[in-house]
Amino acid sequence: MSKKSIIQANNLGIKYKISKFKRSSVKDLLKVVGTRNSLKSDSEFWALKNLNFSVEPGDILGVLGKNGSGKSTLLRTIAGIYLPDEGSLTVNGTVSSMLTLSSGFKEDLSGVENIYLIGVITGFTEKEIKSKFEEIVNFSELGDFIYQPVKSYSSGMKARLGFSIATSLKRDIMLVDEILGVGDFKFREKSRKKMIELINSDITVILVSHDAETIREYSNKCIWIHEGELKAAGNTEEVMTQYMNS
Amino acid sequence: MKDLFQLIQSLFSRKDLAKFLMKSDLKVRYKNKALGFLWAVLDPFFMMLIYIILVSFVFKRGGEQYPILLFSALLSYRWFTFSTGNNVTVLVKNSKLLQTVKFPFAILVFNEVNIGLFNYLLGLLVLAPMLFIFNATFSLNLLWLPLIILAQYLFTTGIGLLVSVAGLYFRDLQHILMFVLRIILYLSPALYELSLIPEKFQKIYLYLNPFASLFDTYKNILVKGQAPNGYFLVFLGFTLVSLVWGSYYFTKKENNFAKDV
Repeated sequence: MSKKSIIQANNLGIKYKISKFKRSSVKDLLKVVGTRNSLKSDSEFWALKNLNFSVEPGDILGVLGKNGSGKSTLLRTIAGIYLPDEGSLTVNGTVSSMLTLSSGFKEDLSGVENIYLIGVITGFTEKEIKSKFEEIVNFSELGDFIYQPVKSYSSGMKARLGFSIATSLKRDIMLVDEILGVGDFKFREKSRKKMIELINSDITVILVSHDAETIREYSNKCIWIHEGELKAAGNTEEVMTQYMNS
Repeated sequence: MKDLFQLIQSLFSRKDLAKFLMKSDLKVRYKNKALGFLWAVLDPFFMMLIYIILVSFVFKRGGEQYPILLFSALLSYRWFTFSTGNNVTVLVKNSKLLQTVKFPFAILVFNEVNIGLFNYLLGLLVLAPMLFIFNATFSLNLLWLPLIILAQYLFTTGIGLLVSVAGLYFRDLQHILMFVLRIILYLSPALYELSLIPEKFQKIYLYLNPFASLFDTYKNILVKGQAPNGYFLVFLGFTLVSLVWGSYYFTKKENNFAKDV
């Protein structure tokens, strides 16, 4: 493993506590008292376990796995939202994520206001956003709609705006979670081109999908996660063959 | 203490975020209404009107300056209940955000306090002409006001940090808090004067209830032209405890928010 790895996971483990009384209310508390169960009787669930892999700068890493195999947990850990419960994860760069696409908008605010809000939440300064503003609006093809409240947008328009924000306000590492097919056919072509452009730049991309074709098309490296554990890692074709044959 | 400094530092490092959070919250709150931002002024005005009619005309109680005495305390409490009431659910309401982006989450708590402060300052605009009408005593002691406001800002933030985490792990807290906030109002010298408390209990009352010295100080500065007295140190003590405790508790739990929300 080279020293220059931009992401390095060593025996990475992430666990969730499954509490029987997660949304604890007075009722729950009374139940506990009633049955003399202690509140500590939580069980644990390891969403990721013993994960070892590394990503070099400029890599496009595909993450394969079924739903619930731990892919999203991995992205959140790279984004710094979860801390490792076991082992370590070193990230030598800034991370931006496309996770925010569908859920990040405030419906009552205009497109313009949402661009700034999402920008500052993801850590950009007002100045940085201003310099990218035109690029975002142009790419989204929203025209004057950008001044309208987002609640008046169609789902396609929202997706276009989200994609434009995510690809314009980018960091060293970009996390992409299943959102390549956005908008109508024309925009899908355009966003595909934009993705290829990003892939050919020096940016590092972590691409999560349960669709093997998407991963094959874009990524040069691949890991396959099954029930939280690493099943295979290596170049895309090798891992893909194992994944398909399983 | 260390947690507190780091928290303040994180707020300053993300000034743009604090600014846009506040801006967009205010827009959502007021923009789509016909009277817009005017509501931020009309709302305290009507609140004041109701109390004046009720106490001065219906119950025929309170002195000549009762409306402004009441209002100088009530405005402050309105800020506190607004920010605290919102902070108890702020993490749950922003659950999607907590799970997608990493940023200093305490900014969400600060934001609710900032919006409360904004409303408070607009409320002062309503109070100012009333002070003239009801013959308040003006003096240089009015210069204390910004410092008192700052103290309340910090106290509200400390409590906000505490209730935001507590509200995440104990969801019933938001309902319980509404009762508690109402009871505190009646236990504090807002609707009545501090001198109404029997003298032998006054001291202990001032020591136990942070709002006793806070409300009394607001009334002294705004209406009576008097400087804050020594009991304000009690409020500052409560402020320090809530801030240190709140930032410790918040920082300790912050990394679990995304999993626990």
